[in-house]
Amino acid sequence: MDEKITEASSKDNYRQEPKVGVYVCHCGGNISDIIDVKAVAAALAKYPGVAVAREYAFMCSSNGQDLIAEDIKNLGINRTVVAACSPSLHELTFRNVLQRAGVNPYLHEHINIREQASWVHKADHAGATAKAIKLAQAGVEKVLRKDPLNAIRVAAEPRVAVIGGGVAGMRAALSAAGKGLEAVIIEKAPRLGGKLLELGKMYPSGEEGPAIAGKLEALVRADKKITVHTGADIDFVGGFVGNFKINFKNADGTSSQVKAGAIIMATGYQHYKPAQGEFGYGEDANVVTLPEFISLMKNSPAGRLEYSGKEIKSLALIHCVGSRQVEGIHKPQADGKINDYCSRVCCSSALYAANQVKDKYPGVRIYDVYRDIRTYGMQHEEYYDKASKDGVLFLRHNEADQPVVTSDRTGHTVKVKDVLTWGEELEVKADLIVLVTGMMPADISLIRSQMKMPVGADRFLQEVHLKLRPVEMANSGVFIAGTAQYPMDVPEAMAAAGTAAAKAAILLAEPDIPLEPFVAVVDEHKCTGCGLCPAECSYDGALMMSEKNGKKIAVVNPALCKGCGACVAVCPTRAINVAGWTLDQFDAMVEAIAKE
Amino acid sequence: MADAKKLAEQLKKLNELRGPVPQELRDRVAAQNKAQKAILDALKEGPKTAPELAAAAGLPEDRALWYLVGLRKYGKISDVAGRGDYPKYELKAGEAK
Amino acid sequence: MRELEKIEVDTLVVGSGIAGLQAALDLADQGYSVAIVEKAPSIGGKMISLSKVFPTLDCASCITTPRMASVSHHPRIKTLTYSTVDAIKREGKTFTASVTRKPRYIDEKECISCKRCEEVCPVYLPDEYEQGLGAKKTISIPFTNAIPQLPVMHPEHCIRCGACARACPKDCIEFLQEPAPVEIKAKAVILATGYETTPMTAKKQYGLGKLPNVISPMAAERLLAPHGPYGRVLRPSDGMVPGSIAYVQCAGSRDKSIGVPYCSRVCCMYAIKQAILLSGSLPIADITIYYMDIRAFGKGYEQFYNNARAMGINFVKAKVARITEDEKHNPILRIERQEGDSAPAEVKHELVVLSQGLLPGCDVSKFNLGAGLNDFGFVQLSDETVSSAVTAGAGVFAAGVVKGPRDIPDSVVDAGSAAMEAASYIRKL
Repeated sequence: MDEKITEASSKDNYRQEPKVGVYVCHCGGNISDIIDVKAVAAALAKYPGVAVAREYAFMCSSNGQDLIAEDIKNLGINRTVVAACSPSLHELTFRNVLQRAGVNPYLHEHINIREQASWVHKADHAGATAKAIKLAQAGVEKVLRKDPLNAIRVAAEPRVAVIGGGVAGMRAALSAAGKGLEAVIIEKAPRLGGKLLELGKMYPSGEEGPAIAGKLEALVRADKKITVHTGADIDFVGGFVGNFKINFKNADGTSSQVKAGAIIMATGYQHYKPAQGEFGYGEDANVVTLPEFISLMKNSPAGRLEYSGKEIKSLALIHCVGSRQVEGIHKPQADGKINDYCSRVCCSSALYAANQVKDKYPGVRIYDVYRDIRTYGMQHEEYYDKASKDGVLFLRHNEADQPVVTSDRTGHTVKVKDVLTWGEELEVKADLIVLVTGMMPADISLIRSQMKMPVGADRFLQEVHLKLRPVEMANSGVFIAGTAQYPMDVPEAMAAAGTAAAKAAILLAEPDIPLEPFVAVVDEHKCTGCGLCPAECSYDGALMMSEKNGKKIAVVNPALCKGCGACVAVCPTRAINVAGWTLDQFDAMVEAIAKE
Repeated sequence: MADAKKLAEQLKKLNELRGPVPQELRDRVAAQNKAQKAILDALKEGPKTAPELAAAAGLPEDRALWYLVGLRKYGKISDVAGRGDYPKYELKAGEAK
Repeated sequence: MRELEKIEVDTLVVGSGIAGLQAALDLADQGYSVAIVEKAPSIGGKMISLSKVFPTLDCASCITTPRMASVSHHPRIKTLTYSTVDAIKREGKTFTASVTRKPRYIDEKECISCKRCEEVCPVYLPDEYEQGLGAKKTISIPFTNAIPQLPVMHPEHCIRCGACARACPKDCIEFLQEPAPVEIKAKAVILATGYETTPMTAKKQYGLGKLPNVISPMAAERLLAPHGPYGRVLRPSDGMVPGSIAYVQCAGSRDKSIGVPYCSRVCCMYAIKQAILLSGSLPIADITIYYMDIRAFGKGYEQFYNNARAMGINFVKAKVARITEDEKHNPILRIERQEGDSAPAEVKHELVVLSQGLLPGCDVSKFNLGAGLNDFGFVQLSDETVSSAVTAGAGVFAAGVVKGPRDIPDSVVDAGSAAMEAASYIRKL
């Protein structure tokens, strides 16, 4: 499909005399506890170009928004500065207010006096107030120099690419297809089902992993709107919202490309692999991980829990292996990091497995070595109750006192400083040691680096905001489904995947989608055709030298430009600017801040 | 603004429909007015804490606090800035009489 | 009864807490029309009354009010507040809901939210929005950020003085207003009726809610909120700044004796969050959390817990057997430590918060929609390993805590998937 770019219309407010309204938000007490908001509003009311300055408890609330809308209506305000929280939270909220009131939404400037003033200068109320005034004044100078902008509209591929064919990926594809969108699942393994294919009986339904995956696979196969590529080895992901391209090699060596308007990352997790020697893992054959144990149990004969041909009469579960790690206590991994997060599902999985052992092999003694039992789900507390009732012996340790596993000819011993017996050092003997390992994100470094996708300190894909935009990535048009974001169980992954599909469906509800207009713009009269700028551009095709009216000049493709500004910096004649962030605006802001 | 005659008619009809205002409610409002007046009177002497006002107004401490909260919300009194285990309240300017 | 109002939409959303709001927005943004029915006078549910929310410590209002505003401005969303769903009938592929708009005793179209009625009303009442700690008037706008900004009159507390009517510049007080019936026809229903907390009166050992300085977590939220009843953190018995505050975890969960054997999932984190906020506003206060297991299982939660420990909040593994009080209403906790000294001990604090659990907010079985309930009254899904929103009732979907306790991030995510299931159901009709 060719990229069609259309311009939306908007009122020409900028032709009128600029009348700036300044609105200072208390953010509850987040700002007003530190900053004298009344003083900020009073100082701004006197600033040249400002027609009105107000302060209010929550500018983002309906009442706050109405204040702005009424000033636009009654006072003819045609540019606004809101001094409040981070623009990532609410800049869009206020642009929408302007739009509703008939003013070009880009004639708004959002000044952050929370993260940049009140939160970082808690001890200096006067200084924070003075800084907030300066920042707001700079905002006024900027907004006075703003031109109305229009969203760039790009025709979008009416198709969702789902990377990963585990349960989250299948659910996301089903939900998108349910809404009438085409969905394409790209899975690297030869089969759909992801990690569930390796797992035995799972909470909460008691079905085996492959059976759960099978139910979704049957629905996927029956849905004509869904195309499945298995054995697909992705070698390129690129493009931009509405027009992504994914290239991959098929199992037979041929190459394919999928074009999609949105991408859903359902790339899942990998089990934490204990380090060599961690609780004896890799050195002692009788130390296994929980996923390994679940498979082992599946293959064990009835009436006798068996491992390597020997009967297991006792086992010890050690929780939080590869989770809730503490700096200074746990050894960092190859990348120098520790997993300081809780893997969420392992307590319930471990106790569910323990209960199965007790049901099938009542004679097996089970020790459960833990820090906190986190059976948070609706029925999960029952697993804990049942395990206690069935005689699973719980030993609890503090993070600083890690259990120690030793082996000799007599067997395997776990040494625990048990807080439940008031800090007594206990030793328990077990035939098998089961390490309750956590989740880590799957290795998707290639896609991540090609798409410059952000990850958190935990290395899982990072959402924009946990509550406001919980499945959206900073990469416009890319959404996250399931354990690529954080450990979760199957029902939780279903919810996340459904929502990722919902966001993709909202994005692709119209045939063309709006893009931010903050792209490079070339002043043809100033451009000398020196050719320095294309070399700086990191986005293929976004900036090229071209002939126009017999003159060589730089030309921008607004659909590909990300507005990074690298070209602006090298232009010797100030011929390139990023719309909404021009050099003149920055000069004026700096001057306002530096002014005595 | 409501037409006085129309309002009187509405209130009359209301009395017919629901019967007279219950005595319990009348008593409660009377007690509230008395308590609030006692608190405001005590504050004329200067800023005071909730327990001090409770003692002055002859109220349990938690009730005195609740009345203070209401008077504060509706602009009759305000907090006095300062430290201490018990914050003080004062009359708002213009509410002294 | 006033004249019957008829509304026809694609989806009816019952409840306007964060899950209901998000589900409505995610449907309306895909082009579907939505009617939201909310029993409270404002949309926003429980979340709008919270202070700040874990683990990001955003103010709850900063997350909720923009969504409330989006819903109220959305051309495809119709919102009915202070209204009850009395019955829902299924006829073929259409649901017909009988809804009653309760009388606010004002002309809702004429009111300009000037608050003059509230200013002049002479009768003060405990404000339930402030968990009884604050005061409101017999006629009042529910709270600062309420949507809509319309006052509600409580006739049972009205002394019929007529002051409100005389003060109203638009002559919109209607003492004789009656309930108004509304009929909503919809193709699908999303249940988002949320939760109530386990009652303070649930446990005799903890004082049955009669100890003034043993408060609910919702009351603690109001103490910490920017426009809370006291404007600062004080204890309710005498207005003292508390120097020693304790949290009793699992005070309404993991407890078969009160019929709540399950974990309520949010209490560890809200207690930690409140403790962090308290130590911010009361830097010298001593804050203790008595707990069985700290369940910090979500994204960023463990780090949040670690931050709280680094800030000096005391985490004590102990069961609290009983709470009494001394003559100054200082709560006295009888605790049995699980580590260190095991002898039962009595510890005095100046304010105690009972970390209550979550119960279903509404018995949705009364709607006879075919959506099954589990033993505890939460909606049971058809198969939660296939869909997180589909119930056994065709066209009936569930979003948020109506299915069981979950926190705000989980509820927001959950709501989107309920919207998606409803959308694809409607499309296939």
